[in-house]
Amino acid sequence: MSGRLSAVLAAALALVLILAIAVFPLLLGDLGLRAEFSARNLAPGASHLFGTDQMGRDILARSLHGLALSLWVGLIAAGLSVLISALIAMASGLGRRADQVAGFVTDGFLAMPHLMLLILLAFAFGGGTTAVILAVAVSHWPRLARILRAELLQIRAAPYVETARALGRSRLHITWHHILPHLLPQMLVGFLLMFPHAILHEAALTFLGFGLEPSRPAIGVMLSEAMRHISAGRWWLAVFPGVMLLALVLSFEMLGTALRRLISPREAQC
Amino acid sequence: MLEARNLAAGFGRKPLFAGLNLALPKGQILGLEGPSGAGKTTLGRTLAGLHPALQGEVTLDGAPLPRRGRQPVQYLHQSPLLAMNPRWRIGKVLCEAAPVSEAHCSAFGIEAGWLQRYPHELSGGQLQRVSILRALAAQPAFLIADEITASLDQISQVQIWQLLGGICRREGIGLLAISHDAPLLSRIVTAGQITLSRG
Repeated sequence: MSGRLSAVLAAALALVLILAIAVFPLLLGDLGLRAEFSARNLAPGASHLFGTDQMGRDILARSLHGLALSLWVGLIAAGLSVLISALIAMASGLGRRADQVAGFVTDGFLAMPHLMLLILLAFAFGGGTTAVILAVAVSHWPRLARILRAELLQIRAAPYVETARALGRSRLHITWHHILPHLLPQMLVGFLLMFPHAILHEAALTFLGFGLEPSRPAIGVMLSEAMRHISAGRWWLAVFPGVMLLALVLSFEMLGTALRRLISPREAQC
Repeated sequence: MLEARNLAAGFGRKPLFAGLNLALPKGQILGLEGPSGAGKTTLGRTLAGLHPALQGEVTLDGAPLPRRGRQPVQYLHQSPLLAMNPRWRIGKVLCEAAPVSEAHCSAFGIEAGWLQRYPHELSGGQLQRVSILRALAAQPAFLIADEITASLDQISQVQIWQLLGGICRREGIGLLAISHDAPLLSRIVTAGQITLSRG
């Protein structure tokens, strides 16, 4: 399959999923949030496609609510992370000392075990949705920052930037017109690849009890609750939310990889 | 007058050349030849203020070259494609220093149709014309032309040098023509020819 076609297909799939996740919870209202004790622990069937949980809540509706929440957390966290990456990369371009400091901070973050760092940050930020967003954002920027820094240094040394400087263009003009437009595709791909990571880490943190509040219909909360009931044969409590999360993550992973291949075929083969 | 006194430049602490003295009057064409690796490009870039000197100084009318702003010594790259933002159309590239009139474009043989194209869509000779006109729009006192016709056919070489030489003489712009092609240089220089040898 050509790179362009796979990018279009992945983009279409991701768009459909986002629209479904964004629109369905609005249509569902409090379905999936409200307890309905007359329909407890129902296996998947015609009335409840994905079954119900121990409080009679519809798993399909609850999963859609959970994914909508994950989507928002992922979007904000990945967006913040890209912003931090860009700022650190720009700081690296200010001079040798600034580059050394930025490199030291980046290496420091990369040296720490990822999940441990996430848990510590979520704990330090006080727990809850905002803490998860901040923890994911603060722990995910280093790899993209390294890529952006390398790109920035390469562009700064490019003959067309040197020529622009000799022609009297200001540093601001060069940054805005010559450097940033070349960094934007990398930032977009970085965002798309970071987004599924952010969602997965949000779910992982919540599953471990350091993430979103248990009262919220997050996928991590659902999976964590399902662990207690799975030995009783209620497999649908874990399988369906897990598969839906996986589908969302994979579609964005595919979109990011396809876009990266379009921008830099050599890098995608590494 | 563009002058270099006791100039040494290179990479790291090792100079490619040292103790070099050079004077280029305005409106004259000086040739610089030598084999690959002799330091022709490094000398050209040092004279344009793009490469730091290890020793000595470069002066323009007795004063050091300005460190910021539009440079009075413009450097023309061997590969004009690399010297143009690949995301900009030629029309935007041309006007990077100052607006360029249609009359100037036609004087340089730049067709209106090129302006909407991207750099990679033009040939080497076409790009070099754009590159020269862009540099001239910055109203330089001196031009350093570094192997600007090295990758072109002979007809394009002659056209480009005739164009550039004529403009420099007419506008009083000093030109340092760098090439490893000594016979070519001997046909265009008016202020002599210097040779850099390796080591």
